[in-house]
Amino acid sequence: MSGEHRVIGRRHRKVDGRAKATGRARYTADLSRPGMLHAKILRSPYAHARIRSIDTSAATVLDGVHAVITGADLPGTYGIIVWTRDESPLCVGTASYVGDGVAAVAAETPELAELACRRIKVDWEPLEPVLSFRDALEKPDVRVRPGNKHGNVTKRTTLSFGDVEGGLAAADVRVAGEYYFENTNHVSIEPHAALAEWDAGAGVLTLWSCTQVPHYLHRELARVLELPQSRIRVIQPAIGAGFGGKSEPFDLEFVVAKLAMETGRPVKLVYTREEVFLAHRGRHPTRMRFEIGARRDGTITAVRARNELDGGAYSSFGLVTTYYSGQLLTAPLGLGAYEFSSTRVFTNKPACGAKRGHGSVQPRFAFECLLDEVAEAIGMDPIELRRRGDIGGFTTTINGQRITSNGAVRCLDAVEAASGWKEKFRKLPRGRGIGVALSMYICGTNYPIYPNEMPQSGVAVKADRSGRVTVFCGASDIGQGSDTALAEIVAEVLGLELADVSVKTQDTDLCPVDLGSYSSRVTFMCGNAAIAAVEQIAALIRAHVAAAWGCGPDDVLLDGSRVIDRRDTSNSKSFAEAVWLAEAAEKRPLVATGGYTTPKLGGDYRGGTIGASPAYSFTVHVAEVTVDEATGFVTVDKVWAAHDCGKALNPTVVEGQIQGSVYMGLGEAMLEQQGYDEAGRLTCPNLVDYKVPTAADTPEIEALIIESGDPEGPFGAKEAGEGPLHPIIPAIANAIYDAVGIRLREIPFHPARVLAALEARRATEGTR
Amino acid sequence: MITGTLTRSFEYHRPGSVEEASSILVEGGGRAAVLAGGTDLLARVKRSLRSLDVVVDLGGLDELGRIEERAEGLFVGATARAWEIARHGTVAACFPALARAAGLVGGVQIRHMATLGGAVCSGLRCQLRDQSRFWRATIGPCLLDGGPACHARPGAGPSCAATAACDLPPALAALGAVLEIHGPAGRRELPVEAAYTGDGLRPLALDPGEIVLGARLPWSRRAPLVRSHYEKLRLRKAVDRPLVGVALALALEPGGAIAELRVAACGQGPAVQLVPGLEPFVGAELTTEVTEAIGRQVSRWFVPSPALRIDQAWRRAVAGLMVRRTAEALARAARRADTTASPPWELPKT
Repeated sequence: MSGEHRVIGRRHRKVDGRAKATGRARYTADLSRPGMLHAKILRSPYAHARIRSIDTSAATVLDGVHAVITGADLPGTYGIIVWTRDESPLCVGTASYVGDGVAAVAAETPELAELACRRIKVDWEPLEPVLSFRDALEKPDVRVRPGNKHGNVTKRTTLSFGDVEGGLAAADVRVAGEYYFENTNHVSIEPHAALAEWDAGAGVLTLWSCTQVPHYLHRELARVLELPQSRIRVIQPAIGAGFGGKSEPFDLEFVVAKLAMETGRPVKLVYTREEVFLAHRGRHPTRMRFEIGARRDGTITAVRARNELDGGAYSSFGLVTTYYSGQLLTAPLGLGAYEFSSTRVFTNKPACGAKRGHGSVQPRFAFECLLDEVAEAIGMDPIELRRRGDIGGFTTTINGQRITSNGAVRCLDAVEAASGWKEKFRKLPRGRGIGVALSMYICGTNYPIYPNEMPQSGVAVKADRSGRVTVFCGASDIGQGSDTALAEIVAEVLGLELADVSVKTQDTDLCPVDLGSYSSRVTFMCGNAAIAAVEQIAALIRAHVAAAWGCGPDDVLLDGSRVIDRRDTSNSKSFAEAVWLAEAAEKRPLVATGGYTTPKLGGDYRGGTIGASPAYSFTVHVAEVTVDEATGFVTVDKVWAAHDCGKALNPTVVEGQIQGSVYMGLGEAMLEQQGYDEAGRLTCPNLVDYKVPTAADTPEIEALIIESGDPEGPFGAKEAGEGPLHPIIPAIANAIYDAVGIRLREIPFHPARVLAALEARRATEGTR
Repeated sequence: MITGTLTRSFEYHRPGSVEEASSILVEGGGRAAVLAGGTDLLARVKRSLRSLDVVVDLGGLDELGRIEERAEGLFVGATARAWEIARHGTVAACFPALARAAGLVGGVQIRHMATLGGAVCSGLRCQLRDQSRFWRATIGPCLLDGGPACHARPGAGPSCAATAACDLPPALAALGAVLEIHGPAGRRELPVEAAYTGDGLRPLALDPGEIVLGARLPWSRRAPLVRSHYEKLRLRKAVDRPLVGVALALALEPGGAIAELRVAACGQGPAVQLVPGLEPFVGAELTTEVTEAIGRQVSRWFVPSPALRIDQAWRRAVAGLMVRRTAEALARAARRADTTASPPWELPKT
């Protein structure tokens, strides 16, 4: 099929690539409006404390300070999940973590705003904090969220499929282990930023924000600011990455809006890097106890999982994360029986939320490491074990998820060949090793975050008399290339060059709703919506040109920015001339809209729709490592990453997503740790102490694209932005075992930890 | 984006002579700061770790930027940049530990700004102080800021646990470098290791108004048998400052016995120090047993600073290992009698 495509499947620069690479792109922090003020937020020094009173007078009197607000000015609540709206822009009554916003100032300069914040006097009554999962359960009288129904438990769920006890009893081998996944941040290059402008005359608020979810932000702004949603416009400038860290509303968006309304002047706030760590919403630190039973032929008879999630001070995406920690493990390997129990608790720390691979990166680490032990126990090659266990395509998982295209086995074959697996596994010299891991991820969630029957994604396409075509969509391109995908799809269907297509995706006044950049949904859903819209334009053009030429619509080819008569290819018109013709005949502009609505999917049980997705991507990584047994340093020498993205709309972009995902997971595996001290303070709130890998720490990554061609994806495409992160952590862990015989069950694999494990093993072996 | 106190006004001086620089510093007292490459100063100012009232920019003093061969040694000026030092032919040929240390400073951009004088005089590293004003307010003032105790070592009385964490000073100390200093009382010289008091509250043995002009690395009487190497422990392969920095300079007799051995390290506390207790190894052959014993001596002596939140036992063990491996590599190179071979021991292995 790809042979027929002119644009799809070919390598193109991202449509926004040049602007970003040359510094022309304008990010929110770059924006300035006449008379603009700067805001700062005063943050709690305590992990848990009651606010007895706030005296803002010393701040208000400063020359150049225009407004000071506190929680009393913005008492409304918001939250990304409509059932768990438990945040206010500024604390109302109690601060729940070190860094919780307490008051905010708008002033002539950021420095003055900061100075004014320091002058605000808060009378604090420190409360005992809850700082760990155990604390949360063992201190029921200390309540992080007093309004919560179940003490400090956000959500607890147990789901069981099949006979787990029987499956374990029937197993030839049973392996079990306890794993811990550390708290990590997204570390987007661009810190969160927002700018608000209030048109008092019209009563219209405009908010610029680097959000991943302009539509949800739009709704929550209206709720908290008590404005009609119709009087709010959300604009999204260029975005310097998100990775889930900007996929819900944040305090600064409400604060600048309120301050703009109070002062009548535009107000901007840009987070410091420390505030990015405090706002967080990163990976839930998760303790996992897993047990797998398997037969000698590799059949997995049962899996039992217990997951403990430390959610931090607010709900955020936690309801979904709790389910995802279990629901996304049931493919591509078939499980004879499966049970998981996941508990998320509140603690007095920055809230955890969604990070690239939301909810399922942690259990994949545990599961894929234990699978390596299963393979060893039954004496089977770990790639072969996974190949045998694959459930194939167009089937249903044990928890009722519909699987369509499945390229997992092709991914296994690809990395096996590319890495020279058979010559290396258990054959490399001591200190060097190779490991494999496999994963699956969703292409969007089947249900929107707030219940409604409207399409998840809407696209409008306008063909101009100039021949230029504009695509309008509420999607957020946070770097994953969704603007490029939209342009490519429209250019493909209309036979245009990419440069003939303009994409407008940043303004709620202009664009139909798309729900946002999360759950790897954008290319799949917007892509389908775009096809639905642009095919109507193509049909109109074909019909009217055919009428003029006296041929059938199918005889009208759209190619090379022209319409061509198939019967006589010397007969052609420019695309612009074709638009004139069609518009004249239609007596209306050529504008069409399309929507994407998910089919009804999911298991018929409570929670059965969480994890239901119209398609799933599959990834396999092989990592090769060298371990210095004297120092504990692990060097990842090379990674082979095969990813089934259905169809690569643009292979360069897909490879970029695979490489970026591997890089990000590698950072979690080797270096990153969002730690807290005994008082709940961040230990690494800057990019010197919080270690993201540098280029020098990043191995060669060979990205291998596998195209299974999903029947429901746009041109067969599935996601590529999140799935490719999952396997790298267990692949490295399994490679370390191959190299030096230690099983690491806790990330990051810091050299001190590796050395301690090596010494523990030497002690038990009594050798040295 | 520039935030914080950088946008405040301050006095800026770019003196044309060291005498003038010195007198401005004396006048400014505690309010005056020396600006060389700025990689340390500006970061501290941005975090409000120090105020910026009077800045004395050494950029106008050309003689401080020089690297030149003199009769008594190689002079490396205080404002010579790390990247210049790293690629300087004489430094690489005669003082490879210094060249390597300079090449391992920060990242490319930092190396193009950071200077030798800055490395010697830069502020100490403490993860419990090198934070934002907000963060420091949540924990309260540390000893250095007038508080009752050091946050990193609360039970240890009035001593600051912050650590020297620059690459060049250990290399300079191991190579026997001497600082040339200008002050109100004239010029004086000070061995690099003697420039550190060991007191984190006042880490440098410099008097008010004194300016480091540069370091002089003495030519070895034993050249070309003197070998040196610098090794750096850090979690990432770039950007990070050393958790442990060790430099080893070694001279061997023609028969292979150790004639001179100097090992210097940073990462313990406020001082860059020479490892003591190595005298017994002089005269010994550099056998595996001896290199292991040297490594053990370093591990015994090296007590990692608690101001860095990285496993202390591991840092201590690896410090000794780094020295042992470096000594082994230098011995191998010496046995090959290959005077140009540099024996870099990579950490982590690449």
